[in-house]
Amino acid sequence: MNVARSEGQLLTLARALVDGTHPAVIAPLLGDAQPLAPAIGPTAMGVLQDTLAKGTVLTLVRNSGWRVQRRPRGGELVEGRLWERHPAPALRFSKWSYQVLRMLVTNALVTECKAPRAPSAPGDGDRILALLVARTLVTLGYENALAAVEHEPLVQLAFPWWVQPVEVDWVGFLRERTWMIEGLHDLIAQAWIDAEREKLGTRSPGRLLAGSTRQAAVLHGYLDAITALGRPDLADVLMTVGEVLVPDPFAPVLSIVHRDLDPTASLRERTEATRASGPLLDALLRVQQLVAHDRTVRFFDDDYEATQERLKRWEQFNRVRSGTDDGSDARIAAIRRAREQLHA
Amino acid sequence: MSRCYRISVSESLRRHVDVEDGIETHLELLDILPPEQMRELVSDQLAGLGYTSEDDKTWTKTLDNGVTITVDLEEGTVHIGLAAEEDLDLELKRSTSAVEETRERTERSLREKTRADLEREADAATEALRVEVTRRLEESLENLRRELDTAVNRATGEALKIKAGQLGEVQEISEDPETGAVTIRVKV
Repeated sequence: MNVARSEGQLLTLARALVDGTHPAVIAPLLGDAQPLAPAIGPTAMGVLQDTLAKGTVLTLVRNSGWRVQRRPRGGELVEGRLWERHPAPALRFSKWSYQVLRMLVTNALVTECKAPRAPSAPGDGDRILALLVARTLVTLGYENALAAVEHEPLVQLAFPWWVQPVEVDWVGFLRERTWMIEGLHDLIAQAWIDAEREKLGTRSPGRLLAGSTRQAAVLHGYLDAITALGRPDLADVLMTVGEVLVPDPFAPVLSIVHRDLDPTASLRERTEATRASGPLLDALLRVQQLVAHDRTVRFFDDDYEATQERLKRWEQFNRVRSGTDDGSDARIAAIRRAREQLHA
Repeated sequence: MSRCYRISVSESLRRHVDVEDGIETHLELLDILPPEQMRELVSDQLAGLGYTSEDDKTWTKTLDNGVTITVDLEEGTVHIGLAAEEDLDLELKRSTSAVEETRERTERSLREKTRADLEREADAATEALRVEVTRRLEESLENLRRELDTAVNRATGEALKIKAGQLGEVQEISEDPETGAVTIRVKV
């Protein structure tokens, strides 16, 4: 199969984005503007469509779809891997997917970036590709170019620390796409872990406050939506982040308490930024309240099984044994202490 | 042939600048007694620490370095702040050379540049004053935190004694001045 050299670059990039290649590996393909003919040939287009279709499915499988889980669906719990719990989704790609890949190849991402117009009716394939593009841009530090994907709710959900906020109807977005959150669990969790680590190195109170405020808005919208849709189990992505950020709840929780802001900034700015910097902690404390409600569900109630499944995950999140301490509620207690430190 | 001119300009800037910094925090009071009684006990402690009040609700104190502490017992908030002011009187001279044809334009441009430099100097002086205010404020924070914690702890101790008296006959009270711990033996 023959394709032009410039088409080959586009295809290599598309393949690297969807097959889990670390963004650093494809760094040489990005950054500088590369020539690309105004249109690609039918052979290259066919390969591109095939790569994206198979690659996004692979992304879903690798980022948690492979796990056997019990998740609610249509009023009952269904056990199995992602494709056993849900019917196969139609992963449609619009012209936008092609345009955004072209943008990555033909623009000097460091300086300026002509982003394609956001699709009016994005396909689910477009959405997953937008998330993968965002991950690459964030990892490589091309924050300028994130404007091309910030319209996508999945990008807002995973990368609020980096992207400008857009209004999202979370209930509308999630209603038919809970499978997407289930399948992209690891990728979203990793994005939050990276954001919290980047946050710790932030010296500017303004940046800390702005990023944290965006995170808080997204978490608020997301938790409201999954509660309204009767899917609080989807908060498990936040627990995964909490488990990594507080690996040892019995140690001082320095890893999530910001304390290195520019000392020449005013005390008011620093205090305000520090107090706002724990939206993830607030969100986990809110999850605890949801769990408290789950404990009141009786065995003959309709959603007893689903609540028991959520409680099991919560206990797994919390139970961290240490010496003679049985570790009940250890992690959430550490998170509460960390939050108190932020507000001290 | 054009003649060469030496152009000198002098600009001055006078400005009064006010800067301030501060933080607001909460006063954590346990509800051992009704809120009015708790507030009264804290008021007594604050009065003992040199705070003054005109309405028994808001207590204030100003330290030697100008830091002001305002405790609002009804709202349960503490504001710690410091303000400073300074009269800036800056002057800047600049010179350059120009030929006859560009003389006016060069002078206008030099004057604008000098004014912009003066503005920058004024901003830098204001920022330096603000940094100094923040530094002085931070120096006071640790002592103030300890002072307010002590006031609240003592008020809590007093409240416990009153509460214990309401529960039964107080037989023994021991206080550890170092830790602030209070042990009360009550016969109910």
